[in-house]
This record gives sequence, C-alpha cells and structure tokens, in this order.
Amino acid sequence: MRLLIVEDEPALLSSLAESFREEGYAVDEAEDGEDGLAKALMWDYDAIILDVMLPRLTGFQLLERLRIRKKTPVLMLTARHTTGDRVRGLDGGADDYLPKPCELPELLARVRALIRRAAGQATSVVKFGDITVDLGGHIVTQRGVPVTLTARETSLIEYLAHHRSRIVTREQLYEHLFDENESSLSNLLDVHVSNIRKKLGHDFIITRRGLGYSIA
Amino acid sequence: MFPASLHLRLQLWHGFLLAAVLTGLSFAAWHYQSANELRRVDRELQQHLRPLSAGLPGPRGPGGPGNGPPPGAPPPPVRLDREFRLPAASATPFAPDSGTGLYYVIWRRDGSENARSATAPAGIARPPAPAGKSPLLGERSRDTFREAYIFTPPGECLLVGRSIQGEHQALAEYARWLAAIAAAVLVLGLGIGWWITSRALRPIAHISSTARRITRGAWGDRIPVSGEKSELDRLSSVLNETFAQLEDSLLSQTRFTADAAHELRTPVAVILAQAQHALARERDPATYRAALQSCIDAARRLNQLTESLLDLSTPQPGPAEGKHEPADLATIAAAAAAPLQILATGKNITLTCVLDPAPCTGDPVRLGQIISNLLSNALDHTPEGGTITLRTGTGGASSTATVTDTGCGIAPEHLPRLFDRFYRVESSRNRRTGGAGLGLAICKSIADAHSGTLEVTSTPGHGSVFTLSLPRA
Repeated sequence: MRLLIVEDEPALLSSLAESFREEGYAVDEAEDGEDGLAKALMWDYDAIILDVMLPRLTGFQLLERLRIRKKTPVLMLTARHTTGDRVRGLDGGADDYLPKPCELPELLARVRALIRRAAGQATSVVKFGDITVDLGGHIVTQRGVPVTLTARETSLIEYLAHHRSRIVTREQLYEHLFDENESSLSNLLDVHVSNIRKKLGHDFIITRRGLGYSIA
Repeated sequence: MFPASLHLRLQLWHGFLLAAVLTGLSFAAWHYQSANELRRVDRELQQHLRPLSAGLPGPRGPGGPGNGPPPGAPPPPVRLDREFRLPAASATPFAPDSGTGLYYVIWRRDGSENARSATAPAGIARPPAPAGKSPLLGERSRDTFREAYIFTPPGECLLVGRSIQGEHQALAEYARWLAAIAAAVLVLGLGIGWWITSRALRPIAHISSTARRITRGAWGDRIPVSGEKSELDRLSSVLNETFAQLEDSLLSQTRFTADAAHELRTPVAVILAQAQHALARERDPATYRAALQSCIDAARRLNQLTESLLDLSTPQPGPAEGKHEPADLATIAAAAAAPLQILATGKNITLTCVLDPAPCTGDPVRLGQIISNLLSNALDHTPEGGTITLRTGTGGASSTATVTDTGCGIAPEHLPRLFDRFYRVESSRNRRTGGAGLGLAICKSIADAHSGTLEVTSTPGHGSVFTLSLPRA
C-alpha cells in the first residue's frame, strides 16, 4: 500500500511517515500544497493524508484540483475542525476527516478502512483456501498457524488480497509497494513473489504471463 | 392601569380627542341652531307686536321709540289705558281659528290686565317693568311659550306670544340627528385611526422581530431601511450599525479563538504523534532521544504560544491607568539590542545603533518588548552579511524608534494585514524563524495602549523599515 502524507509541520510529518512505514506502507512525504498536488497527480496512491493549513496551496485547494483528475481516497487531518470546516472538507471530496491531534491507532485504522472501501472490500479478514489474510493486523495464517513474513511480503499479499480475483500488473505492484525514494529494480518483485511461494505454497500467487499476478 | 401597548394607547388618545372634538362641535351646532330658531320666533313676534303697538300713546305721540308707525299712518284707534280694541288688520292672526297660535295680553299702567285675546293661556304674569327707560322692548321664554313685549313710556305693557313646542321638537330632532352623525364619525375616525397607527407602528414590529431574530443567532440579519429618512429609518440605521459592530466583534472573537485553538493543537499533535510512534515498539535509545527532543521542542512552542495569547488577551493598560513613568526610548532600545548583538554577530549581520534621546512616557518593559520583537524579526529575515540599523530620536511632537533591515522585504499585498493576529507572510510555519504570527499583533497592541503608532514600509528585495512613534514627553 502506498500513501502520501502532506503536512507542513516537519516533526509531525516524519513521525507519521515512520509510523505508517512500520505498518508496511510505502510512504511519500510532501511539506507544502504544491509539492503534494504534484505527487498526488503523478502517482496512484492508495490513500492521501492531507493537512488543511499548508503553505502555497491549502488542503482544500489541493483537494479541489486533485478531484478534477483523480478519485484517490483522501483523509483530511487537521487542527481546523469546526463543523463548517469538516463539512467543507467532506463536500469538497475528502473521504474522511480526522481532527488533529489524533490518536495514532485510530488514524491507522481509518486509513485501512479507507483503502479497503476504495478496493470494494467490506471486511478486513480474507480467506483463500487454508490461508487467512488479516488486513487489519497484518497477519497471514496457514491452517491457523501464523506465517512469518517480511513487511514487504505482507504488503504484497495484502495488495493482492485487496484486489483478489483481479489481475494486478507488475507496474501496479511497483507503484503501490515502493515509495519514491526506493529504486525499483525489476527483479525485486520476483524475489518477493518467490519468497512468498516458498512460505505459502506455489499456487497461492498465480502468474498471468505477460499480464501480472493474482490470487483467488 | 393604562394599557401597555403603544398601539392601544395611541388609539385611546385618538378616541378621546375625537370624541371631545365631536361633542364640542355638536353642542356648538345645536346651540347655534336653537339661537337661530329663537331669533326667528322673536322676529315674527315683533312683527305682530309692531301693528299692535302702533296704538300705544307715547310722550312724543303714538308708538314707542324706534317702533313708531310709518309716516302717514292712521291715528291710533283707541286709548290703551281705557279700552283696547284691535286694529282691524291685526285682528286676524290672533283669532282662535287663524292657526297661528298667537295671543296677546295688555296691561294698564297700574299692572291690571286691560285686554287679552281669546287664545291667550291663563296665568300670564306681566313682565317686570324695566328699571330705566330702556329696554322698552323685551323677550322672554315661559315654559313652552315665547313672548315679546313692549312698555310704553307711561307704563302700559303690551305682550305678544305663542307656543314654541314645535320648535322644541324640531330642535330635539336636530340634536338626535347630530348625535347620530357624531357617533358615525367617531366610529369611522376610530377605524381610520386604528389603520393609520397600525401602518405607522408596523416598522416597529418589524424592527423588534428582526432584533429578536438577530438575538437568536441570525447575526447577518439587518433591519430593512426604506430610505425615507424618517425617525424610524434613523432608528433602524443606528440599530443596524450596532448589530454590525456586534457581529464584527463576535466574528473576530470567534476567529481568534479558532486560530488560537488551531495553533495550540499543532504542537499537541506533534507530541502525541512522536510519543505514540516511539512507544509503538522497542526502539534504540537514539530514536527515543529524538522523539523526546521533538516533544520538548513542541512543548516549548506550546508554552511560548500560551504566553503570547495571554499577552494579547490581557487588556493593555492605557496611558491613563498603566505604568506612567518618564522613559527614554534610547535607553530602552539600548537594553533591548544588547542581548541580540551576539545573535547578530553569530549570523554575520551588522547591528548598528544610533540612539539619540527620545523622551516618552510609558512602561519601559512593554516598550522594550516591541523593540526586541522588531529586532528579532529583522534578524530572522536578513541574510548573512546584511545590516540592521536601530535609530531613536524625536521628530515633531513624537519620539520614534525605527528598525531598518536589508532583508528580503515584504510584498505590498501583505502590508495591510501584517499586524493582524495569526497573520503570517509566508503561510508555512517555518519553525526556525517564526511563531504563530502573534508577535507584531502584540507589538501593535502595546503601541496602541501607549497612544502610539507602529508602521511599516518595505521594498521587496531591499528591506523593511518599522517605525514606532510615541507622543513626545
């Protein structure tokens, strides 16, 4: 899952980004509205966390311009939370609105819910035969036994689980699993896929030659 | 006891007044009519009296003064004091079958009755003789009769009268008619009055309902002004101005509170996020240290913000009630500049002080706050190698302190709002250089409290000049 966090308070930005990275997200950061808009338009993020009071372009303006082109789920996170502000944000195209200061577990849960809804899934636990993927707890179990996976492997499985029964292209996986600072070596993905197959069985991830991957 | 409603009160006054006027008019009309009627009867009686009196003897011949027979009239047919016989021409109106109802009575000098017509009612007393010679002619009303009489100079009395029952009845009829008209006019007048007062009072009802709406929270509502420049219009305008000012101060208060809350929440968010992130799992000491340092920075910022907010919300003591001691801006400026000199040297900025005496009155601590604030701002916005000049002196009736820098300057569009609370030129909160946008607002409020001014001129790219002017002591 790849996120964009737009926040002008550096200390807050870095700690939020770190928290999400530890949850297995690929996280891009932007310190002002223009940078945020440019990144939001360039990449297909799974969700954007957006502050309102931003230099150069406010969160509301960014959202307005983003919505002309994209439907990326947006969670507004701001200290400005009168009813009017919240209504304006939600009507302006935000999918959720969380007042600042917020509790980190709640923010993480809301982002998970946002991504789940955007992918069209209603529950956070998905089963594939004897394998269960818990999207909230980032736990994959096989026959009730937790399987040890790296954060990146978990994200890959979760992304495929979100888009189950659909073909996910390699480009899509690169875009959603790695942030802008990581080199996207083309064989990195193959390494992760082969590692997952070693742990969960070869048939868990199906390769659609020339198209991408899927799980069902 | 009196009705509270202005409408009812006006209506009541109007009703009283209208009733009084109508009553007065009716009485006048009735009185006029009845006087007229009597005069007519009197004239008629006198007409009948005249031919009779032609037979009366007078000192200068027949007839009374002013009532003499026309020239060439026949000599009197009778001597009144002995026997009276009617002149033939005059007999007719007094005959019982004539239908006029007229009667006559004649008294001798000694008061005994000499003659009376057959139509005369019983019990007619001789009118009292006049004290002097005149009036020889008189009228009187007796029950439902009206009588006219004449005294001859020797003292005989001749009286002609008739019943005025018919006239009385006509007058009563007239009075009833007047009363009916007056009642109708009163009802109509009350109706019209009610309508007029309703119309006149409608704007007041409108004003009060609008005011009620505004009190309930429709702060943007205003009383419509018709533009007639009437008293109510003026009242509406005054009320509208009051409402506008109230709304303004309420809105600015709300905005201030919202801005303050926003500014306070940001450091809290940092503390919360850093702490929660650090505690989420086991980390190495360096991470904990970094997180704690962030928390300390945020807490300091929070503290500084709270101080600033307190500074702003505490009413600045005016020159009247505040510290009112003689001071010199030069001394204050020197004290404020000293601790910043080290900072300037560290940034390789030349801080020059040209301090001429500038006497003023006020609180030296507060005034020093303005100058150090202006200097720190200048230090923050002046690049390395730049210069900052602090000058004090006098000009005209004021003592001034100016801070001139060779910094980046301020774009013209920011200047009008520069002293507003929470206004920041660069909307990014650059933690290293800036606070919440309260510093200049605080300076301005201190200057205001000292009856002074704080002004700025700036050329983008070349630098800014901040001038504090206080009344010269």
